[in-house]
Amino acid sequence: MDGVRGRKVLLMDDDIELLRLMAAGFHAAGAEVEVAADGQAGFARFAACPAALVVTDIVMPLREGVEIVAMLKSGWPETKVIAISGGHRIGSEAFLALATQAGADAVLAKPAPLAKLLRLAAHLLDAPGEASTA
Amino acid sequence: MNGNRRNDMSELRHALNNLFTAILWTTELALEQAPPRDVKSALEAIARLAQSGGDLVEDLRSDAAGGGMSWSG
Repeated sequence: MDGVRGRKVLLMDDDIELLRLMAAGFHAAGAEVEVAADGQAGFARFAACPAALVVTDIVMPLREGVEIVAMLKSGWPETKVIAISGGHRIGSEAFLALATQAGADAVLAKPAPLAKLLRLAAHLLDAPGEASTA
Repeated sequence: MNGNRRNDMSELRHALNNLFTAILWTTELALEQAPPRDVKSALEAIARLAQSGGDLVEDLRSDAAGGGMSWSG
């Protein structure tokens, strides 16, 4: 997991338990972890101190993940972005397709293994490539 | 199925997906602690069940999108 070790990552999810677990996984992998429980707070945190990688849930209060992806890729195109979703009104696939259109480097449907998310993050930070769906 | 019912179902699927994700991630983090073999087996079983739960949620979504649901067993 060298791609994550020592790198700053920002994790956004309005499900506090998932945010805590995701943070524990990235922390154990050696990342410098920042968290935010809504899109607005997450974007403000990123703007103040950009991260190498952002993992964002799609359905969040105040500012949704697809908007976050578009804003990040517009202002900080070098930042890697992974969008994750458990679906909502239109299902995970539709939300994740929107995230890909907005510029997400990768998308992941819940429930996906944490190990898979960490591998994806490491891959993106090590070897930038095209958008991928998992 | 009216709009409120669809919203209820989509919110339920979202909640279930988040629940199964939390179970799966908790289990993975516990496995990182190198537990005894019997505990490891139990944790691996829980992880498989959580992923199966996610598959069931996806089946529910697909069935609902197809206009009907069928259950057996």
